[in-house]
Amino acid sequence: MDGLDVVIVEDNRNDVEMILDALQDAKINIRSQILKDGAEAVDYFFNPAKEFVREKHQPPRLVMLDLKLPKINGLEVLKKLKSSESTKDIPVVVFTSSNEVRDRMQSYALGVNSYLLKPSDADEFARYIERIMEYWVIMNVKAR
Amino acid sequence: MPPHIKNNLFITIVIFIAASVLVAIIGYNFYQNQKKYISASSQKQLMAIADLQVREISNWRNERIGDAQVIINNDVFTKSTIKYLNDPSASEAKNIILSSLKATQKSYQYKNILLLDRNKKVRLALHKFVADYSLIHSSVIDEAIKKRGIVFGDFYRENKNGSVYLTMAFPIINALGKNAPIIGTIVIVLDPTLRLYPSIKEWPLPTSTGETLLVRRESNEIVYLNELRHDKNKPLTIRLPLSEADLPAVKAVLGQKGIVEGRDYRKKNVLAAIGSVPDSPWFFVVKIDGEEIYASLRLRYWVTLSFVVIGILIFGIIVAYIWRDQQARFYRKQYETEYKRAFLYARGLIETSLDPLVTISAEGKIMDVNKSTELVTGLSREKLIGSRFSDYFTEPEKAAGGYKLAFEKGLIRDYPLSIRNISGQATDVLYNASVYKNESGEVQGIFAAARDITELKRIEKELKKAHDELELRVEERTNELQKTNEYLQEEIRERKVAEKLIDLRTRLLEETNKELESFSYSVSHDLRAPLRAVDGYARMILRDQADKLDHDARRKFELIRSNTQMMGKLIDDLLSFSRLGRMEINMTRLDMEGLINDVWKELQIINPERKLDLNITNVPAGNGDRTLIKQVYSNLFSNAVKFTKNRKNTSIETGGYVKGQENIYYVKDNGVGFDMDYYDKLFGVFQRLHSADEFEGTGVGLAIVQRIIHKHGGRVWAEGKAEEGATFYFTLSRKD
Repeated sequence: MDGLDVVIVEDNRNDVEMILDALQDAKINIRSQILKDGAEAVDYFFNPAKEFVREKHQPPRLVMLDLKLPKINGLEVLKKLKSSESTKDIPVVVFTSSNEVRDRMQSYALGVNSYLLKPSDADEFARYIERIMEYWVIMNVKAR
Repeated sequence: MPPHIKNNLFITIVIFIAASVLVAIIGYNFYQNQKKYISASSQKQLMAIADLQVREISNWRNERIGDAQVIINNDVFTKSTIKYLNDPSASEAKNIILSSLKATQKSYQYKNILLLDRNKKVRLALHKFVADYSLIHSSVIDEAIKKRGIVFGDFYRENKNGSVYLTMAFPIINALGKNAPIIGTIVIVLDPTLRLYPSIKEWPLPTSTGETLLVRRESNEIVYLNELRHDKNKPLTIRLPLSEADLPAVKAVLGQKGIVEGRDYRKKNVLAAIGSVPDSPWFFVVKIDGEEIYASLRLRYWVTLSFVVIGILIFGIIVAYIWRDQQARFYRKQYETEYKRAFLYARGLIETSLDPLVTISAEGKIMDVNKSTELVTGLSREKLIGSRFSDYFTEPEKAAGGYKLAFEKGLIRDYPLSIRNISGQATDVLYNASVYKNESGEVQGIFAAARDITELKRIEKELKKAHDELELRVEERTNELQKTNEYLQEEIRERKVAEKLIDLRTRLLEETNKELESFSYSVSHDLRAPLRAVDGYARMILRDQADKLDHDARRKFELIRSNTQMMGKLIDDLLSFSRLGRMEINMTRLDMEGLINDVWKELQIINPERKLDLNITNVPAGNGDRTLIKQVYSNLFSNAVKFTKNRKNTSIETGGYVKGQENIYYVKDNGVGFDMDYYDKLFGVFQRLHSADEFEGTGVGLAIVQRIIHKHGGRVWAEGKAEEGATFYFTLSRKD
């Protein structure tokens, strides 16, 4: 299996921990890269000269993107990903706590594959992560 | 040609023909009468002349007899004759005889007087004589001796082409008594040309053809004895046979008497009176040519004919004239009728005109008026006509100027004048006037029509008044406006200041809104993230270190989790409530029943443990924002489901009806209901009427419902009673 399974763009350390915990708890063994702001994400995909060049230049199977990010916000990142020939086929799931209609509409307009609201309930949260990974990473892999 | 005129023409022609025939008959009769009259008068005339002529001849004879008688009764002469005849030498007796005879001869210019003896031998003669004289006259002498009286002999001619003479003989008888012896005979030779012929020739009337003839019969002939007027042959030379029966002379000779018509010796038609001359062998013919008689008749014929022709002509003319006159009368009558009608029509129009109309002469005198003029002046037309036009105006000079101007220019329009009524009241008028002309184009006068403009003027005055008032008001208003304007200017200045303030405030508000938005955003992110983290870590501890915790600690971790979760929900609700305030409504036509079913299905999915039935009755379609109205039903149904969870038989009902301009919708349940005392708190944000232990929820649902319905312009209310269920109502406008 080449390349990464998922790139998670998430600035909230708590959420990152909860995501990773959920994956671990569910015994989902996937390779992931955590990027803690939008600038890092842009660099990761479009600036190979930077320090953290993505391994083997393989596109990930999924990008899990928060919207409220430092430096460059999630919508900007999404726009870049979906308008570039090399990255537009990578599935992007926006996983955010913003229930704003505007955010949702803009995300879909830019070509997001799924828009999911972060549940307040921790149990729900964990369940969401399981589902997302099962669907976008594992099922897609098997389908390959 | 109208039929009755045709008829008239026929009658006229018949009358004309009848009249002509009558005239002709009268003329003919007249002519015939004239002819008869002339004929009769001619006959009378001829008879009279004949009588005269016969008398003349008788007179002549009697005179001659008288002459003879003088000799016969002269005893001296008789004795002398006896003496002389017995003794031719008795010269004294011879002288006496000769002187007596000479005296007699002288008295009548006798041609000759002879004395014959008993032997018819001439013994004495006053003049020479032919030798055989006694032979010539022997028959006369014999007759005289036989008759012993005076006997006339006939005309005779001494010789061929000689003169004509007559003889008269009588015997000389000695003594008286019948048988006294005849001594001798006296023969007197008469020249008829001396007295007889002229007397016969003489007519009492002037005539060109009239003549008297003396004729005698000689065996089968007639002999004309006197000089003829139309034949210069000598008397006794003209002889005509008796066979010429046309000759009046023949008729006379044959014994006819009276008037006859015939042809004379010239073969001309003549009218003649014939008869015999008494005591003679002669017959007389007094004749006159028919031509002469009828000359006057012919004239009368022509005159009569002329009269007839003239009469017929006159009749013709009269009849033609009458016919023409009749026709003319008919057409005149027709024309007059037409004319009268046209006149009445024209006059009627003039009289019915509401405008006072007049005609004015060049001298400015009124010639004609109509009824309106009488009314406006208050004077009768008898008074108006002939009076001065300008007298009836408040400004006579201006009025006179008006008609003069009309005469000058031919017409005037809208000439303003004021007519003065006899009562003194004045009527304002506008005059239109123009000259009118006769057939040959000469100006006859002016035809003027006045238009009463009193009403117009009144209106004008009112208008002016209104106008003035309006102007005044406008002025006032303008002043007011000016003041207001000034005031407004002031206000505008103030307003501008205020606007600036508002601008400032708006900007502030916008900033605040932005802040609020970013606040909401922050809340959703920043506020919920830590809560999630708390819940997450608590969950991890409970999962991974549960064995290290006692029961109480575990319970408390559980509480941490439930509280954080509760707070998360509160934040979510708060956010969505505040989001509503900024949302724009997207109005569409709503299939309410379909919408309700969708919501209900979602609700059943969320509450799989509940056995739920929804009773939908008659939900009218409405207008609203689909998403928001869905939210309303979602919230109301959620409540209904929530508050009926302790009921054995859940009853949830929804429906609606039309009332006025609204649709009223309701959701009814048989749940715990509410106490109307706390109705005020029902729709408040985060207001709860039940404990969170009893019924979960944040208390935002009904607040959201109210907010959405108010945004739609509708109303929301509820009815309920504790433990007896609740009914929630909302309205939506029926208009789009």
